[in-house]
Amino acid sequence: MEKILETFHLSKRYGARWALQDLSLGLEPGRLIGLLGPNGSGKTTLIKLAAGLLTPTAGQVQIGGQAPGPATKKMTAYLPDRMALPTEFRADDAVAFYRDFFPDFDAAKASEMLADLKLDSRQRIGAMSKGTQEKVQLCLTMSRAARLYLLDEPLGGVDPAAREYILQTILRNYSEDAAVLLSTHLVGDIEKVLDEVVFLREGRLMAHTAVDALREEQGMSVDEYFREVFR
Amino acid sequence: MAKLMRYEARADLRLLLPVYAACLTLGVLSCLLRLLPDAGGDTLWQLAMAAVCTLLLGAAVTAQIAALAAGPAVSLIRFYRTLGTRGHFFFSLPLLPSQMLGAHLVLALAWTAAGALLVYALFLLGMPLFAGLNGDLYSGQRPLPDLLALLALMLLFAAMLYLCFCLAAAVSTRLGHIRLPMTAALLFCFVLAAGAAFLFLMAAVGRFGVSALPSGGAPGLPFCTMLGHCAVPLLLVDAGLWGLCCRQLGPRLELA
Repeated sequence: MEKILETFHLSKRYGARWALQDLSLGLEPGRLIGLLGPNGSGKTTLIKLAAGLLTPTAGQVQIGGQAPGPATKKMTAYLPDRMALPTEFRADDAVAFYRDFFPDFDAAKASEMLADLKLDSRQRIGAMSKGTQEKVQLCLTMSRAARLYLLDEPLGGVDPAAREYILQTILRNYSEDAAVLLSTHLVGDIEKVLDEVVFLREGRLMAHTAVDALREEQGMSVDEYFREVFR
Repeated sequence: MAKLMRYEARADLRLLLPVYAACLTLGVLSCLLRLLPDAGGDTLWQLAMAAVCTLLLGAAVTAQIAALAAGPAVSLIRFYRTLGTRGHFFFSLPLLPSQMLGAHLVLALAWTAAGALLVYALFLLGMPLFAGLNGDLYSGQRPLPDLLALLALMLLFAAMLYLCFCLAAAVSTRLGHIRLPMTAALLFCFVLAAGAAFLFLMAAVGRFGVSALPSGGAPGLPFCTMLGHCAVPLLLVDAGLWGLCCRQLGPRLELA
């Protein structure tokens, strides 16, 4: 099967520090992949390289066989690890903006998801709470029928109820022939929905395996394995 | 890029319209000062009118400087913000980084020109007032060349202000290993643009003979005219260099 995201000896350096080193990876569509690792292991760097926000120091990254650019950004839905929407936007403005720029954006779906949040569509994003802002950003991202979803720490910094909402939103709304690459520290919360896991340490690939296979081989859950390996 | 420019323009106008409106209002009010009745011998009235005129003219001049500076300043601030947290959103749009940079540069130029034209229009409106204050400054013998020279001066000032802001952006923005060559290239663009504007001004002097400038000190008129014809090619070269900078800069723009 053609891989949706491939990296070939991918490396990224910030000054003297290597954030990613010689990473070769291939992700197939239709899978929910957890990108796991301690702080500074290169998870966000890998996601940003795939999203086209960074340029590699060495090696290549390809989305659907193409280097990151306007064409790949049309098929990639990226959720950053921080609130990035312009704060002067209202929820309506954000929906209109996404509709203008992304052909695969479903405005009706987005409006329905935002209505579920019981938001005033005329309220400015800057006036919303942090948790609500994160949810708005997630709803807009998941309203796209992308081929690759790159979600950077979608569960971080929100309460447990919001985490459950976010997880359910991801599961209910992503295209089934798409790949979802999701980075997180909260392995326990997300383990039950993952198909594959990728472990990074100090910018290098430690393991890329199916969750079921990991559980069989190691005789422990992914969360337990994560704590064991990265202690 | 057109869609992005539309959104950016709307966001910029939210900040710029109040500044332009204040500039226009204060400019028109200060021009209406000449309609005030004569104070005659009433000292209190004279003092009151002098205070009002000083305050109003001071506010009008401040508003005009703000109108000139606001356009490039707002564009620059918004460009900086795109290199920060907001970049995670804007750089994920299906656009080339050079298109994003180009959109900001075009809008900065448009707002700079708009501010310059607004101030120039207010200056024209207020000229009879200024002529009344200092009759020697604008003798009115050759009004059209004087106005053209004033326009050239205004655009020169606006262009230098705009390029200073762009140079500041180039020097301090995070461009990694291409910062020094980019800074050198943009500095060269600045020198070219300033040189072209100066030559254009000299052409105005040479072609039309501006009465406000001392005629004894001006260089030979034909030489000035000839130099002025170099201004347009220089501006075209400058525009080409800006385009090249955008193309080179685009792929290297990245977010930490």
